[in-house]
Amino acid sequence: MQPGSEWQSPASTRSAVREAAGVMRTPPTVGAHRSASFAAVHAVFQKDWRSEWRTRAALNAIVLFSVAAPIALSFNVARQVLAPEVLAGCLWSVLLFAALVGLPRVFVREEESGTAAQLRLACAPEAVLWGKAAFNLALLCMTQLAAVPIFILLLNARVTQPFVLLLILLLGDIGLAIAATVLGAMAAQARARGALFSAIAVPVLLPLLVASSAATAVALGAPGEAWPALQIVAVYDVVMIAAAWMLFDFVWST
Amino acid sequence: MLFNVVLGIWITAGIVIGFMMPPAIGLVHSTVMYFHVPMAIAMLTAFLIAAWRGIQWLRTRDPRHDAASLAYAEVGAFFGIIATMTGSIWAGANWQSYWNWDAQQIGIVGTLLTYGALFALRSAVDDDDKKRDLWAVYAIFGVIAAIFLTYVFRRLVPSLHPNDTLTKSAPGYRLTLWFNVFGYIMLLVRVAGLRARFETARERLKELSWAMS
Repeated sequence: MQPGSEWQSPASTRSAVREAAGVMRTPPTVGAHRSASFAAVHAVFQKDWRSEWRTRAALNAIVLFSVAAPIALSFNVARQVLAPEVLAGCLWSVLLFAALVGLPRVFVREEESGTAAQLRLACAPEAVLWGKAAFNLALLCMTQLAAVPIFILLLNARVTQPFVLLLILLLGDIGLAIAATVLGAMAAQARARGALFSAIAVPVLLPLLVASSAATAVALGAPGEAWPALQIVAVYDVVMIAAAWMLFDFVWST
Repeated sequence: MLFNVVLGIWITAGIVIGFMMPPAIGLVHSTVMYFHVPMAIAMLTAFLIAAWRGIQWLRTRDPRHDAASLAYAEVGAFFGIIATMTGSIWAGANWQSYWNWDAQQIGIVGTLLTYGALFALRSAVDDDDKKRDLWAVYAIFGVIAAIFLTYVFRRLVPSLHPNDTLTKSAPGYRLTLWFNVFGYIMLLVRVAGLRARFETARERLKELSWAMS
């Protein structure tokens, strides 16, 4: 019933092969972290920021997408009066797809230019995680500075609780950035990166998406309380940060 | 062998008792609940065990844990599909629509999507150890998402599900329900155990053919 004692772990043969090939592996262990200083995190962020600012490839794509999507949307529905729930759902769908377009770039770029190995050598995994997450967060915030006002203008949304809207955008961005960083690192190491990233990111981001659009609907004038949804998003952020912190070692190190 | 016999008798008895119970008050076609609810519970149990075995793989780097994690995820996804189908048929009979987007339907669709993403991720990585690492990490993220979708959204999105009709009615209904829940979780453990053995054997065969060539 259970695997019998005659079964022997192929791990022994495998590690023998590895040693023969001269590949040393030090498997990371749960809970053991090389500590990352703020300077290292800042250096990773700075590096990404500068190389992004030279080409602005990701920024252009993500900003253009999140401006084009509301325009395409309003071509279809501009003459209708949309309920706040519909508007909130549309807003978060636009933001989700913009994030799916832009956020995996941080790791795909490393793999494409062949700099991932140097980054692994130069920095502790945590510095990579927090630096890249901060970069993704900055990218998202800049996108929304352009996208959210255009969305509100074009689709005639009435913001009744601007503070709630700002808060939910910020909390949602934190969750999006941190989840997209870890999942982007995973997808970048697999085949069919772009398509795979969307496939693995959407299920994990689904709770964030539902709760954020519930809170945004209230901010746009739907009846009810925004507080329970805001709480769910905040808890989601905390859980994602903790999980990313503990598990990023296994994703990043080879 | 004995376990197989006990399990067969247990599942059969569960089916017979489920169909013999008189309909519960306030529910149409309540018989399906003795199979739909256990399947949903077994699916979530399978996902939790898959994530747990994934953590064990990350800690010990013993491929047997990874094989078990894969096995529980596969059997859990199958249970999830059955739970969705039975639930949808029942919803069609009861709520006049096969799909209503209530909280638990969002939850089960999200969980099934997570399972799908797990299999997609596993098939897209070439290196064996990397594949197992990413699988385990994603299983943990997926289980977090599944818990949010299943338990948190009941408090946020209105649910049509008659969540406490069976557990709060006469003890006979409750007993039948938990009898079946236990039976299907045992079935899960049995089938996943076999699947894990198959997977370890296949891995070993791969190693051997690789060593011989």
